[in-house]
Amino acid sequence: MKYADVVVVGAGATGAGVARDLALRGIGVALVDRSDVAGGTSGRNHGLLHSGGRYVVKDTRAAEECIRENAILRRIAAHCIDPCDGLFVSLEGDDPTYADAFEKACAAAGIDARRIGPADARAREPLLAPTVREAFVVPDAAVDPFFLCLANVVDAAEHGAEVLIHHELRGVLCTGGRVTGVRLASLLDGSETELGCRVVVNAAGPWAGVVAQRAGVEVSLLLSQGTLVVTQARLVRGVVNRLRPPSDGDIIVPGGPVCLVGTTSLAVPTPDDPRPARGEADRLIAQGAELVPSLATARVIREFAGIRPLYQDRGSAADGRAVSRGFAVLDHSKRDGLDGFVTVVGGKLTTYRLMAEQVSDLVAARLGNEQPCTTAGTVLPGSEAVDGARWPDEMPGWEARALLSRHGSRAFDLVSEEVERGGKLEGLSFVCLCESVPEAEVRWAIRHLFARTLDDVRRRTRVGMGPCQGMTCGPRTVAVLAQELGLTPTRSDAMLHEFIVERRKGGEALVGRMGAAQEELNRSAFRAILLGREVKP
Amino acid sequence: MTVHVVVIGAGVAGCMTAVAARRAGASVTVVSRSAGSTALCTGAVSLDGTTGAAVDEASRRISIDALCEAGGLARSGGAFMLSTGAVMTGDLVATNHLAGALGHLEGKSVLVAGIPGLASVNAPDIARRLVERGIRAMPASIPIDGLRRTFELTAFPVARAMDEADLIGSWARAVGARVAADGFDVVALPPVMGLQAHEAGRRILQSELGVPWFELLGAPPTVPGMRLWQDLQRYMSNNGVTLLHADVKHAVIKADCIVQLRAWDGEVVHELFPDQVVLATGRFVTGGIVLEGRLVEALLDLPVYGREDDERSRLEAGVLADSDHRAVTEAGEVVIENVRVAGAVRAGGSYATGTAGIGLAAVTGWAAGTRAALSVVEIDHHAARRTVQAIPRPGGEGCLGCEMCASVCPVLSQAIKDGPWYPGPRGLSSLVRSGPLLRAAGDPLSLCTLCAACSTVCPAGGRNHETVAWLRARLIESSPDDAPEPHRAMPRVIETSGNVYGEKLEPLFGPRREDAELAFFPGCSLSYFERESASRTIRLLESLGLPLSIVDGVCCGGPLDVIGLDPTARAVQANRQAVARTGARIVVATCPRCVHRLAHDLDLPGVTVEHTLTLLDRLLPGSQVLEKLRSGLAGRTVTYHDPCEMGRYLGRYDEARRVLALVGVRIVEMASTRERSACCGAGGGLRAVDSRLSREISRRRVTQADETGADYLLTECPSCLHNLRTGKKRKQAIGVDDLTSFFGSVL
Repeated sequence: MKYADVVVVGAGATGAGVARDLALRGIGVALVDRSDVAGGTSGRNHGLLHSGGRYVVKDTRAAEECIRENAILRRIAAHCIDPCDGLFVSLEGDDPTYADAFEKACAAAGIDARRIGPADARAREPLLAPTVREAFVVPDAAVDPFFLCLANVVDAAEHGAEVLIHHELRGVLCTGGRVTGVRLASLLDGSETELGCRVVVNAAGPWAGVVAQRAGVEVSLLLSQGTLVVTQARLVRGVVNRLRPPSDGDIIVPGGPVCLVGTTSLAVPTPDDPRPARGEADRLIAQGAELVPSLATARVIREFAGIRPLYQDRGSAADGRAVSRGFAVLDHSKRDGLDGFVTVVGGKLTTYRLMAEQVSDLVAARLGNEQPCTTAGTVLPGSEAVDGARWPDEMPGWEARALLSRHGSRAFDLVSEEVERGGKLEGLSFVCLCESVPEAEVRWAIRHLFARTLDDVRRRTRVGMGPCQGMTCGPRTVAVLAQELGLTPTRSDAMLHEFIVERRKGGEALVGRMGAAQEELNRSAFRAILLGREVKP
Repeated sequence: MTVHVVVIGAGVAGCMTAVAARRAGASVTVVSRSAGSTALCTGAVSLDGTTGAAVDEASRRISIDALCEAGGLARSGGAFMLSTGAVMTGDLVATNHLAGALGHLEGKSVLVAGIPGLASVNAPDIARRLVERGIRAMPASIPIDGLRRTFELTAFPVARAMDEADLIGSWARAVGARVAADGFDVVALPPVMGLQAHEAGRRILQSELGVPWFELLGAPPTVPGMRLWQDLQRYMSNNGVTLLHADVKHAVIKADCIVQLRAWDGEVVHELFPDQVVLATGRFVTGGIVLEGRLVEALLDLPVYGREDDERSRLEAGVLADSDHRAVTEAGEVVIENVRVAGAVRAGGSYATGTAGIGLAAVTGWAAGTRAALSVVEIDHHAARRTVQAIPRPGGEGCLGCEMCASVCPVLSQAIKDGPWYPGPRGLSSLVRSGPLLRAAGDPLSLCTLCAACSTVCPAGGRNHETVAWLRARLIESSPDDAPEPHRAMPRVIETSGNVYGEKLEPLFGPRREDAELAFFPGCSLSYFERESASRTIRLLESLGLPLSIVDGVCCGGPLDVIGLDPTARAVQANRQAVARTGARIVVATCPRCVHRLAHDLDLPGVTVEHTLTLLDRLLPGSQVLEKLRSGLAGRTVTYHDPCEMGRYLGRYDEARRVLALVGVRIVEMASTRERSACCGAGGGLRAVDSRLSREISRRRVTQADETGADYLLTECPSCLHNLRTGKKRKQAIGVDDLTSFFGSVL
């Protein structure tokens, strides 16, 4: 039986962070996820690097954690972060006392919040509502969650971790109250394997309860669904928050070329397959338009939902917004008498590194490893300084910029590998025109970033995320996957089919928002793409 | 009395309506604002849904035959592999695809020829799929000699490069060599074998490949789809249909009949007085039907049948029609007596849901056109009138990613050949949605010629050329170091020298009469590059019988439009005074940009600003000089280049042709003309930024003109004139001149 010191279940931000932290300490890690890196909640959020302002009035501790981690991530994950800053904006009619409370709380938590007048606010954000009364500038930022998680996974792998995505945890093997291994099934080929280990870290986010059950312990979560909509254009320069207690539709976060408007909070019974509820998108847009009126008529290209895995101590019964956004590390040897099983729940993207540090401290101690945590001071792959790296002469600056925005300093490696492959830049031909994704980037994602499916490639390249939602890039990308992985046409057809069906779901509720023309064109193209493909579900 | 049928929309439905109405004796005007779903088809026509389409079998057959003739299609019925790897049935396909029916490939060995850098056709993947179907197939990757770029090739610009005989010829030879070496029976080609000149390309392929060949079909958008659309436009023209590129904004209705349509072409409102109207406006892609909370027919607010909350019902939504193809309510009552519907704007049947194809559009179009031409409606002219306003299209925000713009962009097709990297109109306007990329885009942004060809084909109504000017302004404002030097320097150059070239220009020689009624504003280019032409133009203007004076002004500020700026108040004032000094009531210029600017800026009471063509069109018919021109120009054959800023900007195509006809010269049209006129390469400030690229674009245009066999290539814009002269090769015999200078040369 193969062996790793620690099996981390869940390749979201937390699990990836734990895997990296442990690997940097020299501990053997296997990172397991039934879908992909950032396939769950970590890939289904605004991509907001909190300053802490959103929680500062109610939850000082969470706010303090946020601002500390915010500063750390700007250093170690610079290539994933758009340091665009943010505004907290109050409009005419908003409770004026909240601003003072906000200012005071920010000062106490160490958040640099600068009060500005309506003219300055609109100079920073030209599309802000004319009814803006005042605003605070805070060090919010936009972070690309896919690439942040991925950078952690890549670093873990470069330090010896094994990455087992598309592997489902089927069971936790225990002997005498002690974890001895796990049983895994590959969801790509159906094979089952056993993997020995001493510790299992349950970082499965909304599925933490399910994973705990596999080990025979109980973890109770409050699953709170948040819905977001994605606009076709970037309407804001920086993050725009409403200066009031958190509510629906009160935050707009830029994400590269688009912006995301969120979020709702809705208790749901199951973490699987979150779907925006009817009317959620309309509500978000109506409320977001109070902040940025042009949102009301903006073209919306997608809506999606993610599940917040809020930890609920046994017995408490608060609703989604009231439950702390803080996190909990559960040592099941103390809690349930199961040695070698640790659960980490709650928290947020901004504090993933801190969560990982605390989990890893516990695990390292359990394994007798005395290495200190180094993640706060070690730059992630892609954010390294580049000395003397050069683009080939023929390479357009624009393309370089697009690759840099996704892969940071590793973009140079991607291009030089392409040049070495054929001596030419053929592979820099676009598979995706909406997001300027070259074929070489798809190959890079497969060879170096663990991508095995079309959806994996999407997360690593933005293929399929533009307005056409896979119409052009889907067939092109799947053909590259087929070549690289030796997939049969039947298998790649099924993959394409699955991808397009999934992409279509994101647009269903939005046809009313200037999307009917796009829907008609995409459906026509999809028909031509999928016709005659022997799809076996 | 001839019935005047106005058809709105120029896809398959509109074309078939128009031609059917013509055959039934009507006079027909087709108004269309862009390419649409026809241009976005796979290139193969499905006849799904045509059998139950409320027409009899004979009419169905006639309309399908007409479509085949119009689009160069043949009946096939076989299954075809698309470049995406999918397989579909094509009931009618262009001859380029016929040999690719999978049934024909059985037992043969197929070479799948890919083009390196063209990611839309993955030859190894297609070959593998053919092999899985039991067909012997081998992929090959064969580069195109003469394309400097070997990556980031997209279908439309490659197809346009393949329009050149040399280029497609050398590629075909390379493929032919592979065929001969390895003994293949059939060759599968990417669907990029020419766009406008694909018929000439076909002949070259036939002679060079030596074995049967076919183009793969593609998923929308495709080059074959665009070819079909272009063929239909030509077919309509050849059948005596008047084509108008404009957007119908208003309909005036009297006693349940449309009596007037007002169509806007970006600058001018055209008034049409139809007896019968047929809507062939398509569904959502072209905005015939829009979803604004509810489903709405966008032009006349006709009742729409379909449920917006059900995907299938929504995709098949449209206007109901009676057996006479008139729009009716659900209760069957005719809504507007003289309005019929054809194609996808009609309820039921959609390619998107798999229940119809464009064959249905042909069938309903033919039927509606025939009925319209034969219908007579008595209009009660005393009845009350009401005006219906159409719902506007969303514009640039609505980009569908359809790549139609890439099929016409002059810079893109030249740049992939031997120019700098250029992402095309869609790429440039997508900058609006990607702030961080704007800085990296300074160079490509400066290459757009603002010719507006992309804006005329955009189904979503995007005004790409305006977006580019706006982005340039934003770049100069936010990050001037990333803007090209000529753009940064232009305001200062114009301010200090009074002209866009920064040179000290001698005033033009010519009359400066105190009693002037007509004032000639020469503008920078004419004064700098084309003084010869200028003097001949002045000679012509003098001969019109109005006292003439030359305006000694400064640059009108028009060049600043290309970087999104207005002229300074000082320049405007200087020109106002210069014009006032002449005392003339009419200011005339050969430069459309000067005309546009001065008309907007001068603000002198009683003074009008006209283009020379407008003036000639008005004054020449009764003028004494006409006979002299007729005798001097007799026997000459000319072709006319529509300057973008006259044609696509102002919708003025006819003045030049009327004036030319008046003097009795023979006019032959180039392959791309009027709305589809190819840019000369001078626009948008390109000449200052990249003179080589600008010249290469003009070479293509001159070559197109030369191919017509005309003696002269005429235009009426000093910028175009100068650039076309630059682009003329010595061995080309064709003369290049401004229309007015050409006329002046015989005086």
